[in-house]
Amino acid sequence: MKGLLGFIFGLGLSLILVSVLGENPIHILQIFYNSVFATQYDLATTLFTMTSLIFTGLSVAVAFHAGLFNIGAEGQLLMGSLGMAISGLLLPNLILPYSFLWALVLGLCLGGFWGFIPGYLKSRWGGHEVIVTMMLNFIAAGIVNYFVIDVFQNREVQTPETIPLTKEFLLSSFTHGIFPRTPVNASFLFAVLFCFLFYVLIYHTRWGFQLRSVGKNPEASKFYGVPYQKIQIQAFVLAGFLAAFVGVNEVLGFSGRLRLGFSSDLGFLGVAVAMMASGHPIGILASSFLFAFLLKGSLDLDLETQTITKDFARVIQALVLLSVIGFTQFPFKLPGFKSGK
Amino acid sequence: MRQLILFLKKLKPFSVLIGLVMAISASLASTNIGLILDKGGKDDKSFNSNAFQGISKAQKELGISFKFVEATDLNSLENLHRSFAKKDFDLIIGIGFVQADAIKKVAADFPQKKWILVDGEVNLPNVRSLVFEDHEGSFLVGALAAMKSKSTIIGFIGAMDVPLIRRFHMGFEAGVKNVNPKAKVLVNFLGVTQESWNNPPKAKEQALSQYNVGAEIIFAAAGASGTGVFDAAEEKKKLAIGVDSNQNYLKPGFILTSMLKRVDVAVFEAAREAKNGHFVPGLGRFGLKDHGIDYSMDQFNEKLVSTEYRKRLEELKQKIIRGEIVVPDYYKIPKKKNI
Amino acid sequence: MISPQPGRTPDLTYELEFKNIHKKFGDLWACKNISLKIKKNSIHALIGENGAGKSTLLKILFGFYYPDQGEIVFQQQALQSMNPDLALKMGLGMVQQHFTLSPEMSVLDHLILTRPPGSVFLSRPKILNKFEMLAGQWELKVPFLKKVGELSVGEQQKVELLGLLIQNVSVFIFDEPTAVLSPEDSEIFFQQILKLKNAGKTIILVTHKLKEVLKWCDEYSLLSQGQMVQSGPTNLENFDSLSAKLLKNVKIDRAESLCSDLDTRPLLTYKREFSKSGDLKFQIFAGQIVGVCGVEGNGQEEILTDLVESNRNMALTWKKISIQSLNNDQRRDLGIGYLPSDRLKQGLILSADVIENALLADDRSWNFFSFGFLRRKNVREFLKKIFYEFQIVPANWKLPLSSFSGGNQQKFLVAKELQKKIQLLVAPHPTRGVDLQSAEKIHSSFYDFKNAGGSVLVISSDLEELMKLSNRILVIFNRQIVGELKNPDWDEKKLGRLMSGGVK
Repeated sequence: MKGLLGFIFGLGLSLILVSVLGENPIHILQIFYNSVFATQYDLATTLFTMTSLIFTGLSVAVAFHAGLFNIGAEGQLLMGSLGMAISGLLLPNLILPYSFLWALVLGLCLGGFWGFIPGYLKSRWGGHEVIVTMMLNFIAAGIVNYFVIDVFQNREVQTPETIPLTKEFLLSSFTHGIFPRTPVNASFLFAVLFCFLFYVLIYHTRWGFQLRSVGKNPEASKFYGVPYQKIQIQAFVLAGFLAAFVGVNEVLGFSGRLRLGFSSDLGFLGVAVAMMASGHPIGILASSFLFAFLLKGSLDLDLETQTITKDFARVIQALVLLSVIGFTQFPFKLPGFKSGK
Repeated sequence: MRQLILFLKKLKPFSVLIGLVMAISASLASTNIGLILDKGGKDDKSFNSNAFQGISKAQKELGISFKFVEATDLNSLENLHRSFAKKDFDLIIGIGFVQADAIKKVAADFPQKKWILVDGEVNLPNVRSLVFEDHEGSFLVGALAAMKSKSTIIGFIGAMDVPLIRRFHMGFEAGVKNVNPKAKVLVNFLGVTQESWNNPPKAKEQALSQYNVGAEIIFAAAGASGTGVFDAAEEKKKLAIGVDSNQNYLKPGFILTSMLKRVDVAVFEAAREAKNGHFVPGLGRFGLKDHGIDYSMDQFNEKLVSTEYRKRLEELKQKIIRGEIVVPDYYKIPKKKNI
Repeated sequence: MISPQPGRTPDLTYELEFKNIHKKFGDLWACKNISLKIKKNSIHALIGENGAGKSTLLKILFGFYYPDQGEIVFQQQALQSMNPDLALKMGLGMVQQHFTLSPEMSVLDHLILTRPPGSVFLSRPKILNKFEMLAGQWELKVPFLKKVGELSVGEQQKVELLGLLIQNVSVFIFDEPTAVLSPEDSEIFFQQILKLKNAGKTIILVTHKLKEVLKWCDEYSLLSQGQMVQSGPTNLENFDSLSAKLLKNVKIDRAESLCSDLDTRPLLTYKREFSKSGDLKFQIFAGQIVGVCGVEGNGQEEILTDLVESNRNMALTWKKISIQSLNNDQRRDLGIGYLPSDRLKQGLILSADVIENALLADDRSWNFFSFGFLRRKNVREFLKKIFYEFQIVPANWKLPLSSFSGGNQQKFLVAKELQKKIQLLVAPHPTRGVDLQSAEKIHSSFYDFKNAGGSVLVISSDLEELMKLSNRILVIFNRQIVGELKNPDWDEKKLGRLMSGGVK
């Protein structure tokens, strides 16, 4: 709730700023609106980004509930995408549905493994998960780079990307013709479904309660015999799985290959998405849409106006992000509410 | 209104700035070009700056008008091209090989629109692809470095480890070896993420360490990161080689030369053809022959490059143009067998 | 600020006055028409069960809450729009029950943080000098350069006190100051309080210990359920009359604490060797309440840790099975229940609601989950039962545990643990910081448990509690059991000597 308020506040602040630059704020709002709803393509692009943000947002949120800070969604999604992109190149002769499942399993395993490492280091030796995941991001980028450029490079084009997968490995082989020829694909439905499953998992299962008690009071969890080390590892592996699903959206759902640099900091935006929603999955549904909207909208501002450049669009993004964090983290009281009760 | 426009037109030669502002704000009935720059942005003092200079020059001299945007990430490119295609642009120019994908998709959807892709290839009837023989220029500056250097160690610093930069490296090393077969080329890439295109501090660090192990000259094929290498050269009183634009002026006396990739020429020519209603789809190559690729000589580096070196360089250049020397091209080396 | 004038008017005899304070949280009256006068230059005790309204009243005084009605008069001035900062400036200082010191800072740094009046620029030697003088004046010697975390509880309290003294505070408010102090430290503490009083300060004590009230305080005010019950001078009361008033509405189920027929087989045997001090060993039999008493730091922590966590370097036997290498989950399955020694840290998730806290350490037999999924109905029924049995209020399961009073929190923990199929309950400090009514309830639940054949190991520094509860009291000193007393042969003096290592 506060997050939404912060979003509106940040947007308002940005509008004031653009009016100072001489743009008509109404016009800006129009651009924002059109940027998402004008055409099918616009909506589809927004939903495509939103899908990835849901996955990374959930990934950050699951760790968040366990009292851990997952900065490593970026690396986890890269490893997941790598696994999916090379699955079809390792075993090209598989047939449906094994081909798709193999791609999914390989990607999720790599992503999950990339989550397991910080979880294990944290629970066994207390290695700080922020440092570890941050470093693992760089390692993942290096590994992906090696595979994309030196092992599986698509030599038909100059762009650094892997050889395209055959259609047996793609999501579209199941959903052929259902989705329009736009980036958005069936993984959007996965993402929405995951939000609800996540809700059930976190708030209605024993594991979810244990996870949250580890996050809220590790001492008490330890005292009452909650296997908190196991839970921490499991939380991180789950985070890795969820981040790896970005690969389903990008590789198996959209481009069919791994393109270097496809993730524009999706993993880090996931932190903002999860924070704005305070880790609540239904909130993540909303906040990921708002962020996708903001990303697309500020890009279109550059396109549609004369004064707003890419850099200024970034200023707007940052303003909104800051005020969201400010509103959610700052312990002020909404009028009519008592804090903490 | 017309008088006003005429008046403004008169003003233009005097002030680029006023011209720029007016051209954008007043809708002149002229050729309208959309320009999509790569992530580095128009101030990278290198590749994208170069393209921007070309379009600015076309605006000044040809009276075209343009609108430019800078890409934020890979998945935003298609959106940008699509938006431009929907608007009233006579020509859309995409700068950088990463845009090939997006152009391929959007150009197929808008067959009546025209595209130019700089530095990449797309085979569609409404797309002209302009590619540069980067390796040839790299060869020449490599040869110059080998001539100038007293030590046998020469440095190469590339931005991101991608095929394009490897192409620069391969040409450069061939040039060095051509002059001095015993020479050794140190190679460093700045990273594996997009940040490496714009990371001068890291570039400086790596340049310093290359200078420390004995390199006298470093070729910075590193986009906006290159300024870090130039800083290191100044600090160590060594030499560096610039890339894409003429970067000699950035640190006079410490930049031996710059390998020119005349994206500005390519963009300007494209604008001229668009103005004349002339559009040839297909592939256009820019190499040493047509000065699309070159090395820079100006008042900032004339003391560094003796006439003897220049003579030898020109000879090498002619040999390449005549085909007597074949510079290895990373894009064309035999495909490694994929698993 | 303090102006002790010789010919004062009657008005001036009161330093602080609460007039008809009303405060309601939702449907709950936290304060209902409370009026209270506190005499200047006196020690005033605020007593009452947890949740009686004492804390709320003080929070209103410091501006954390606004009263719905009523006003506060301080030094003949009505206070308006208070905040904690302003309160301190006006001369109202409070020492919280849980100290607000940061363990990693040095004492001096911490005191500098309290912003002693003076120039903007800090000069550490000067400030140190100032504090040393102050400490000398009030006999509050503390090691200024040590880290706060290295200080004993008593010393930390002195630090808090120094921080207030430098601010020229005229009214000192202590929230359960002796709950964490040893009897000796308590004595020292009250001597200091007397000194403050003699210097013209006014002191308000929030406490559960009636003996302290009778011995040291001039006046008392008894609150119950948000209302003022009685206020008056303490010299008109004695222990029985006061505790009768306090416990007026509570039925006390005083089970006889005589030795029941003991099972001769030990339920639990504890044995651990310490290289320096020798063996620490004891046994617990079925149907017994065993007390362990001693000055803190003499081995109680070790016993507790060994009982909770696995430790292969000792011998722990449960009905002839060695269990030293089992983890606490497995031990629970065998029938050992635990209360946390620090309920805020280990026992509760303060930010979570009652239901979630019930789920922490649930017993599989309660069927809170089926196939891993929560069955909220079962939890509600369970809570309904224990809230009723233990008279835990408020019976609202959506409230976070932080909004329950200490007594109710502890009752909740005890109730939860006793619902399990356990034979031994390990209960360190079972009533620390708990009001008398709740403590009674907890004690009687221990009796019931014992009478049903269970055993309790009580580790406490509260001798009265131990003597009331236990069948046997083991005295621990320097990580050894130095003596054992059996009910009813209690000898307080002997216990005291054993605890201080006087008898070997």
